[in-house]
Amino acid sequence: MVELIARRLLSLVIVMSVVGVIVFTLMYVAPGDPAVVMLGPEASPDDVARLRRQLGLEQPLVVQLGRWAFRVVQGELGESIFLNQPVTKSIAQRAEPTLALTLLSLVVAVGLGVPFGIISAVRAGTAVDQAFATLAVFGVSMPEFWLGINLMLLFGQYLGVLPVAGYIPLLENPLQWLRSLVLPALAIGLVQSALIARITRSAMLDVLSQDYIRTARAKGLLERVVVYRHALRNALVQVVTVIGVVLAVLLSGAVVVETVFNIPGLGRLLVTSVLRRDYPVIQGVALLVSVIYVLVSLVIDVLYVYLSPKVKYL
Amino acid sequence: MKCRRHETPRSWIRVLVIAAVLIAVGALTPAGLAQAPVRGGVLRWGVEAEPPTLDPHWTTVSVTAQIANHIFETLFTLDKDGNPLPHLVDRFTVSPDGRVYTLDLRRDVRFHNGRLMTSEDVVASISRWGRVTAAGKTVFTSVRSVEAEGANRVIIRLTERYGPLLIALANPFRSIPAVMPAEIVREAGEGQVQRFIGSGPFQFTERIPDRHIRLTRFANYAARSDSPNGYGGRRVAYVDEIRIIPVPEQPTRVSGLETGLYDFANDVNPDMYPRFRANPNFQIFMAHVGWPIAMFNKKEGLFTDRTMRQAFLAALNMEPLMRVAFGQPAFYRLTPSLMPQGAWYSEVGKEQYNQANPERARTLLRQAGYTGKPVRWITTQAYEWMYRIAAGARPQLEAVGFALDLQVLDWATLAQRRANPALWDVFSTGVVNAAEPTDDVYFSANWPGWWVDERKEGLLKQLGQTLDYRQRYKLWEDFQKHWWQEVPAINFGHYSTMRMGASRVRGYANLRMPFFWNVWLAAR
Repeated sequence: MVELIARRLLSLVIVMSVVGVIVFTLMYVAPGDPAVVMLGPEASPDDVARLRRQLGLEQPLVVQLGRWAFRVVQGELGESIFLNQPVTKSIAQRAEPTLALTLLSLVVAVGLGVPFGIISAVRAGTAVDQAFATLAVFGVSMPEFWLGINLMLLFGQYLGVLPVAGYIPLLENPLQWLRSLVLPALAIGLVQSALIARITRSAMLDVLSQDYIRTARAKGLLERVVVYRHALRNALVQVVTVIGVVLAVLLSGAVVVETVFNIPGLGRLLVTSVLRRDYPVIQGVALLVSVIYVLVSLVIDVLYVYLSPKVKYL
Repeated sequence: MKCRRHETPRSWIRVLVIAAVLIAVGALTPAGLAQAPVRGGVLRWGVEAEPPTLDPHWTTVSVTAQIANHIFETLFTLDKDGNPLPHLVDRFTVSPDGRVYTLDLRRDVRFHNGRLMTSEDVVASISRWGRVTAAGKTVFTSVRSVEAEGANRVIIRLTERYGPLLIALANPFRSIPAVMPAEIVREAGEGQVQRFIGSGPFQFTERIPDRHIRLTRFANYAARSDSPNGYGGRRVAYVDEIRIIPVPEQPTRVSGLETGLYDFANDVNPDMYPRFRANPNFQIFMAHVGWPIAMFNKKEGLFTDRTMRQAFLAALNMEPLMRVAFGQPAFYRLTPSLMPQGAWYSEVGKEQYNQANPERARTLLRQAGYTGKPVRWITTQAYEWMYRIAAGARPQLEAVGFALDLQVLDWATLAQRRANPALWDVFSTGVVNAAEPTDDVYFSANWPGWWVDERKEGLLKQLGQTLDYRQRYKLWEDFQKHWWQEVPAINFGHYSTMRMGASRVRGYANLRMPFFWNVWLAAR
């Protein structure tokens, strides 16, 4: 196990290097210029050229990449061009909304998805299963932003019970913090719960048709014990995998939902930085996302060991 | 009856007393109080973008100027008719030859750091503005020196008469000639200002990028005593705080306003106009901000030929283009004027503007010897109306024989590509109203489009050197006539932006640049 963790952490360095070089090169060859975005539509070409020189954008790719890599090795991600602050600070300011949104969305997604999946599997073929299956198809097919806009209309505008946009930090006002996140968390959570429910159902059906389940029932065990202790535990390997993927996606920033609800999280930072051609921030967020993916997949792999005695890492 | 007669006067008195009390109470209800300015509250203002900086000299981005106008002040400002009005200046004189401006500064103006403003601050700030901004550089081609004389007098010496000097020093629209402490200017060096200290009615308090910018009332603000007039006169900070919230998504700005998250929203889609027009909970404001432009590349390619540009113009029918771009007729105006309604408005050139004459366009194309090479028109959906105009113009142009290669780019790419004449023939942009004709950057031979034209340069120079308004207006009409003959760009018409405020926002003067001094919040 220790070796697994060490190996994964080592691979992190390789993944980050590859991601860094690819993103840097793509940004270099992509059209667009941060200087014109910052100086505005009526800036003179001379001023744009001067700012490009000041920002070091006129230097060759290798020089720019080398400088950036040198700083990254020292733990610095550089300065944001547009925001005029260190990239690490920009990311840190966006981390709280994204973490909070991820957590609440995951509560909704897992809280609804897993029970619905189990009930569907246990009652496979019944009207309940079909009703859940229909709902799940709706859920999976629904874009999050569309659901978000409709939730906004219903709870924000017609009923007037929840704010339609913005983010209140937890320490500023815990109640308002929760209120500001309910709608975006529902928009993400409901859609993701459909995915989790479908995976849970199919994993549970696989397990429930196994011989050892029949044996357990034949032994006269309570159905509750059969389902939760014997079936669910084995089905969880697949469910945890999909939850892990959802977690990694959400931690990287729910781009569309953050934009619709005007939440200053990592997803919105990435999109606005691309539009502003704020290269250091784009590179910083890309590195962070690669770290998140590697770490989440590591955590999932470790969980496998606890969930399934069949899984062993040598 | 007797008894009644005795009682009647008393009951009348009672009625009168009760009525008087009710009237008095009525006057004290929130609705009554709302008529008089009240102090307090946070005004939450949803703006369209996060500003790249709050340094007022450093960028031409409009949202920077909108915010900076609350923090920083200028020597002059504009009255309601667009004329310069002393602001940080108390009084001024101009020498008979028009080359020496002596400005006596107000002595009571304090910066947000507590220090009194002196001539040294003004010299440092205006010199930096002349060095850093495009507008300042234009002005400084005619400036010999800016010097302090004592603590409260500044003398600007010119190399030649320069009519638009005071308007340039009053410009609140972009790259504003703001005055800040000299030490802040020195700290900035060649870069951006890092501390936002001005003398305005609101002081900078906090910025969390993409979340909010907070401006709070400056307790020691020294207001002018004259009545408010346009951007000038007495400025009072009634609200405790202006919280500027960047909300890039237009529908989110509107729903935030509807649900009380924001009190004021910039740049609302005019399609919302019918929905909110009759709603008493909201106020709708229209402000003419500028015009959409299709700029021709006059350095390379198809449109170096004037006849080709004239053919392009002849083919266009502006009405459907402006309607598709701005939706509601209330938000656009078909006019050839290159300046907004006001002192410089003129309809000279109306015969060329909006011809919608396909026959003439075809004839001109034949004369130009056009062979069907595709016209590369670069446009963007970052500003929806730019794209809509280009897409709407396409069938009109193709009907007369133009081949079009419409390239839709994001703003950062368009703004980069337009600097390279090899990459495009036409680009979409918007031009915002200038404070005065010589201030329009897109007339410049250096700006993308590269309009090199001796007559134009001569007219602009004369405009700069002439002080008399009538003579200047005549020169301006000559310029506009020349424009519509040469067609360096297509001006499709004037457009207005829509702003919305909650009904509790009071005292808002809707000028081109929104501002919130003299604005208060009535009770909900």
